[in-house]
Amino acid sequence: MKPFRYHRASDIASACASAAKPAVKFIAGGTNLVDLMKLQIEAPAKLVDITRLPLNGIEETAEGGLRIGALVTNSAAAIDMRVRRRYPLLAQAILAGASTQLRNKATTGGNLLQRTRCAYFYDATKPCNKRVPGSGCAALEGINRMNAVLGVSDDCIAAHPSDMAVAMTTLDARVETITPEGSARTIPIDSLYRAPDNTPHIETVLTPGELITSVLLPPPASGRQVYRKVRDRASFAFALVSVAAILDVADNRVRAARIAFGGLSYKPWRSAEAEAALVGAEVTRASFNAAGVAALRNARGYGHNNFKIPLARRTLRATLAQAAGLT
Amino acid sequence: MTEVRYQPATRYPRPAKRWALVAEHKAGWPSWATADVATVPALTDAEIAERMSGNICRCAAYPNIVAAVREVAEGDRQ
Repeated sequence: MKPFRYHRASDIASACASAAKPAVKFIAGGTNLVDLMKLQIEAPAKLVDITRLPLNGIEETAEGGLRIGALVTNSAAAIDMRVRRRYPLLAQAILAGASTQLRNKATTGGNLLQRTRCAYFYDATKPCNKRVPGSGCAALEGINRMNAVLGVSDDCIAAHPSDMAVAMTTLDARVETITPEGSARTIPIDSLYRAPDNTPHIETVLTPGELITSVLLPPPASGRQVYRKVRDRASFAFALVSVAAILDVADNRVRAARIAFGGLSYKPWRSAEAEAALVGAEVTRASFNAAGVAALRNARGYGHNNFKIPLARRTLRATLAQAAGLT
Repeated sequence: MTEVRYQPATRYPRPAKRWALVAEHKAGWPSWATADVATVPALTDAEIAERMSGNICRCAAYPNIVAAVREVAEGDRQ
């Protein structure tokens, strides 16, 4: 680890102001950043510790949803009875990630901004456009089993690792931020992440020093919520594919569906194609299969991760069957 | 497959960790093994195994550790 300066912020405005400078990073739980600093993949000159800021509450909103503070730990969000009753999808997704010790430290804002676990991003002996812009992408021709199949580019095929963000995407969450200039803005979670294109080192639309203050959950859409995760072992592993679904069924027809995939793209992949295919469809495995075909139509495998395309179709089918109560 | 490990490689099954596991369950925390997260789960072997995840290495001692956690949870050795 390289030496760095440390500043404990006592208010939001000064935290944003001091983090607007180059090579300054916010730190909260540190469950991802500290590991990256040990490997010198991240080498900030200064850390601004935001853990004392008043952003750790979960409150009701006027529209009937919840506002989850950026510093609410993953554990605190997953054990909150309002989250468990109204957004079971989110509790499930959070509990699917990491381990209790990590969830006790990891925060809501940090979870959204965690970096990819692409093996070549972590391997400093290999080229990586995300780690060293312009150096190339070793994953394209490498062991890319964990990498993305949708929405990525030939400069970067890294996948976003979060489970929590996949559920939040299905729930139409909005991310509230504050900029160093003091202005607040609200970003739909689906617009938070930037496609890699030829600048994969720029991962979000946040500007330097812009701080996530909370995540807004609108009132839950009607329907059954299910999070399903497929991984190499039963616990403490990142998703190969995950699905966050809300399925509303009446008279054996789908009234509404919301679908997002994890493990397939640089962001949680909301599938308008799958949702459109489902609306009005009969509640059958064939309909659910057709939704998967629609969702993965533009997917591209890179060799070792080709299996993710049929796996994602089948995982969606199984998730929807579970949500619809098909046995 | 190349696997990237970014956790400290070894976490020993310190007693405090197991007590924390039991305390979290007593406080009503759900886990990934909980079918209905809005309910308070019974501490089944599947629940114990999921809650041990990340605590310890996976080895032959596992069944005995599960038994030890259950013993503590049932109050035999508080």
